[in-house]
Amino acid sequence: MVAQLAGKFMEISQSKHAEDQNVAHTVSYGLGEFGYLLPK
Amino acid sequence: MLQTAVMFVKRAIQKPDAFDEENMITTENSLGALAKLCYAHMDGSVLSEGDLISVLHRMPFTSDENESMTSHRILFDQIENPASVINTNAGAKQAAFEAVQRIKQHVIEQGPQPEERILDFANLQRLDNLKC
Repeated sequence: MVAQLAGKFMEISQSKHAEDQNVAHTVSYGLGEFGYLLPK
Repeated sequence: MLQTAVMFVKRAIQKPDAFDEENMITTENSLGALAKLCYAHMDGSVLSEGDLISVLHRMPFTSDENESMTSHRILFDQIENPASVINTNAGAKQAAFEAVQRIKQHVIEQGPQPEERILDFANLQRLDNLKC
């Protein structure tokens, strides 16, 4: 599930949604958290 | 996947107006994300020691209470972990210690009841015991 969520964050980061500041900082925060918790 | 994530956060940090006040929340969330990605996935290619040092030079984070508290707590975790990239790269270690000194200074300047906290209570206590 975590990997699926991380994948969704990646999808959003490459979409028009990420141009909104609130979305951008939420996606950045999420990518950091998922990136930190997911194994190499 | 890692490369795309790194590109996204670096793009936010490298915008010409990234450090303007209205963009600081996004920028600090992106800096925090880059640090967390470095701690877990630094490979010398997509993520380098230079990336981590550049983030550490920007600490303390002060714009977004949640990001500030999380990023500083994780920095302390990394300093206390002998296997962390913080402790296996001399440049990163130095930058981390300097970041801790700036965090301490910021906390002192904020006083006992700050509007925006950069550390939760447990990590405020931990700050004094960090071996830096």
